[in-house]
Amino acid sequence: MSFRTRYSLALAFATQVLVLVVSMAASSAERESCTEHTPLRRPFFGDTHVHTTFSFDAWGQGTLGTPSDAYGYAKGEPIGIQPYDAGGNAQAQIVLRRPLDFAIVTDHSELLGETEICRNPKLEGHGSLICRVVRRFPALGYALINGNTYSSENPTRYSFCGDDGGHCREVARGPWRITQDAAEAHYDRTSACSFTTFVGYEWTGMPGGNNIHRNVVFKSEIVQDSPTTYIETPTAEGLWKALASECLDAGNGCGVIAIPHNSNVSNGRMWLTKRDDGTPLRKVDAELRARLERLVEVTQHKGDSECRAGAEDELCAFETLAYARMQDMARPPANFEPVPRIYVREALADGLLEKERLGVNPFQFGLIGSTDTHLAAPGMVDEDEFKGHAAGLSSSRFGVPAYPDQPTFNPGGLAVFWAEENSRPSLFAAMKRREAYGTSGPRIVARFFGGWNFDAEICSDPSIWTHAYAHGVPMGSELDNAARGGASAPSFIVSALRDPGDHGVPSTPLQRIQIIKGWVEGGQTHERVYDVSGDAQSTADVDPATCAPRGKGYGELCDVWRDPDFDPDVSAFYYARVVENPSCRWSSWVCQRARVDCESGDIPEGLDSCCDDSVPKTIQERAWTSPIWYSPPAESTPSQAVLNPSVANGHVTPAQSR
Amino acid sequence: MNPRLLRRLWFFGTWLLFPWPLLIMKDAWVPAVRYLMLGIVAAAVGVTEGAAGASGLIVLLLLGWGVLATFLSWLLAHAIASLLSRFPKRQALAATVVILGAALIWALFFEPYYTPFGRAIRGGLLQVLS
Repeated sequence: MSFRTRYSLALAFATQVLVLVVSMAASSAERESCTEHTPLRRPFFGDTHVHTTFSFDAWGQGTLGTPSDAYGYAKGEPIGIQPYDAGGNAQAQIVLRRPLDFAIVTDHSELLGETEICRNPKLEGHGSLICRVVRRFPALGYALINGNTYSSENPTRYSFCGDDGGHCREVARGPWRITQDAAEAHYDRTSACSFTTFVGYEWTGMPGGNNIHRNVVFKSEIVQDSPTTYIETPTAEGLWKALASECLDAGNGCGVIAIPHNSNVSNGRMWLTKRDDGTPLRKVDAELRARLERLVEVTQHKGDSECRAGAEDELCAFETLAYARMQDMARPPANFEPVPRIYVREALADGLLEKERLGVNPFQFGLIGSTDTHLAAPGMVDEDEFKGHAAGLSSSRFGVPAYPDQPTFNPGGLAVFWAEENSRPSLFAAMKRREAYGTSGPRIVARFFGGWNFDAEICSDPSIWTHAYAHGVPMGSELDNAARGGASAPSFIVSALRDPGDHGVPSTPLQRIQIIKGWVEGGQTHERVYDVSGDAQSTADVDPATCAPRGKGYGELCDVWRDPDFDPDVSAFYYARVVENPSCRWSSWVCQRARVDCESGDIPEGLDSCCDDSVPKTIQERAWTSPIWYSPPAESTPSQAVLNPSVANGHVTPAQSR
Repeated sequence: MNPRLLRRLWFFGTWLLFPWPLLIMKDAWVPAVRYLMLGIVAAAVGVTEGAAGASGLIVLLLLGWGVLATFLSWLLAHAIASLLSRFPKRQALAATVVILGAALIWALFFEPYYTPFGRAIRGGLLQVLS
């Protein structure tokens, strides 16, 4: 090796080290320690899925709120929304009654440049025909651009982007920079630690109209130079490789996760166990996926993705959509039968199978909720104040309509992270270890621990959480086989506090807690639902005409549950579902406030859905904890016994042991 | 009045003024001419800017529906002209002028159309043609 080569290598190494040191110093040292630091962790509520005017579809719906506006809204500041007058002044205003602890703006990475070009007359390409169409016929432009970009297996950029799309990619750097700056400006680096932001974007893959979207969230301000797009990188596998090479393995302190969402409209393509070339997933692929996809968005504005509605688990019939492909939104099929592998519970079970095959579970994710707002309104989840999220086919370009959204859509949910403090390092660590859960909107506080020797008295022990961390594992973890000792089955602490309903937000008592178990036996996946706390036979409900609650519920629930059907040779996952008493759905609040009288036949314009019996009047809001997994010890072989399917899929076996 | 001219008058009137629904989209009621116009604009985008995925389908849908709505306008015009041909020519012409004139005024000065692809939810004829 010549001196020149050695010198170059040494210089390159020194530069790498310098970059690493500087970036690590920048990411960790430039903030004060939080005054409030809770070693046993607290729940922080937020929204990981937020679109602003930088998303083409949001702008096309008239949204002008910027990332900075979105963060302001999340912190409780009022923001203006469409319609806007000729001077650009908002004609309506919204404010979040309960500020969030964190928020993440995740604009679509695709079309960032195109959107900017079409609205900025100083930029080359502004006068292109497609930009003229977008400005003059917004909905047609929306349909054409979405059709061109998102519903194609091989998406391309428009010709005004230049031969290789370089012009649009270059312009996209502007909004990407502004997104990063807004995240930085709103991140509270003082010791108050009042609000946390993360830099993020949405990779919007939609081959053939099937949704395989992922939100990408960075650990710190060290991020990719440019966000990965579906246009240049049209597969999820490509996205993971880009995130690995441009962030995780870049050697500059960059950290990132990807959060899949809306598997309910993926037509089964979200949870494929094949590679892009059609060959089966290899261990190395599963490892990369598991490294990046730590969480999944189980619920949001465009439907719930938890599980298949049916007799086995009637609570799965919650905000589900009657179609399995995003592109069927405009015209759902007449007789919809859900296709396999569109629900998260199915993926969790398939993950166990993959782990048996590969030794790695590619679908080992925690569960969260978020909104997917396209109104730059993170955390707008209150059913009684829903203004729509300006997404899909529901246009709010001309103002929030009387019926503010598609009848089948909903306000979305929240992500909750159990962390020591409200800071990026603490919250990101919670995401990575999956100590996170989702709610359909209410601020239910849910905890879930697994261990081998918890007993029922622990719920009344003031040091319950110290004990739980010391002798068990929190949600998102694997049960520790080494700690099993002579225990015959794992036991779980599950606890929930009702949403306190402060700041004038309606609050509903809890009805019950369930534990959902999924397992693999004889190469087949199985699931069962156990009612473990509260009252499964409760008759409490709500008057849909007035939204007044009827009957009683619980302010808090806590129990210890031991799996009565545990087989130490069988892989399994367990998660808890906390369910409230019934309450009014957003649509009922809208119809009630408009005093719609379906009997009279005099229905105000735009409120026809108020008298549509297929639109649910009430819902049962809920929270889903992240799972806890059990894997047989390495020397154990999987059992080949097959349970009677009718038993295996049976529903609601009351807890045998508490 | 020449029956053919009467038919043509009615055809032009219905093609320009009669609102037809776009069956796959809720709250879309615009004349056939509007669907054709949108279809031509969408096709022009495809030619000049490139189109992939579902955008070709959108062009086909709009143009196809525009052609169908044009045909339906012609059928409607034919039926009305046949009905009017039973009356004396002068009365038929008067009825045509009064009805189409009223429809034109209605379309110009009110907002009878639901225009999902425009810049407002509802609009009059000028908005529809602009």
